[in-house]
Amino acid sequence: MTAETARERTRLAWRRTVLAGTVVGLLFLRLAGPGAALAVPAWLVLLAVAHRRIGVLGHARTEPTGRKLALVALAVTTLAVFGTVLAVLP
Amino acid sequence: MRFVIGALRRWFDADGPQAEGTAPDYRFSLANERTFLAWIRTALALVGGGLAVAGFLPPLRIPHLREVLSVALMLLGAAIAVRAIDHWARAERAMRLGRPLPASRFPGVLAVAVALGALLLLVATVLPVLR
Repeated sequence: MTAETARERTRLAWRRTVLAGTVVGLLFLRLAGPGAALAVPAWLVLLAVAHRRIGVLGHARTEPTGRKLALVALAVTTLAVFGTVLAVLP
Repeated sequence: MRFVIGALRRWFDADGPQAEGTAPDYRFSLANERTFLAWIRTALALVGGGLAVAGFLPPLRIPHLREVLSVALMLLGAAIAVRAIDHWARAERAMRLGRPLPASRFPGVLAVAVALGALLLLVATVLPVLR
């Protein structure tokens, strides 16, 4: 695989991940109504990190990604915990 | 608490300036990143599935089964997200140090858990209908 193909595939993987996150955000909106505002910060973290990574991957540059990926994982964990609270509350 | 801080430091600094070893060919790092993203999408799918079960599934014959299923899916999603970043950091570290990639039983355990969950759910929904 060439370097350019690897970057393109990774960019597309970020786009797919943002789409999946957006679908989950819309489900929150449908289920929690205004309460879905609590899920917005987590979605924004995913969006911001993806935007940054897609931008960097457009150039032949590299950067440490550990912090960004950890933030994404924590955002998804937050969504899961918030969803659990929603499901348990009457 | 010390365990949590240690884990956070390992995740944050896996490929940062303080990381051990030398940076691998960045195509390998990108492949590791894509694997992480695939697990994150799996986690998001489970969270979405849990939300859909909680919101759109009519109440099942067995009391609270719907809530249990929904919570189980979302907690599994959370576990997958945490494991995704941990595995990414361990793989990155292994590549930097020229060691074999970390072996993991997690995909196997997850597959068995999902299969068992599906079977239990099938039995729980079909049995009351047959009676």
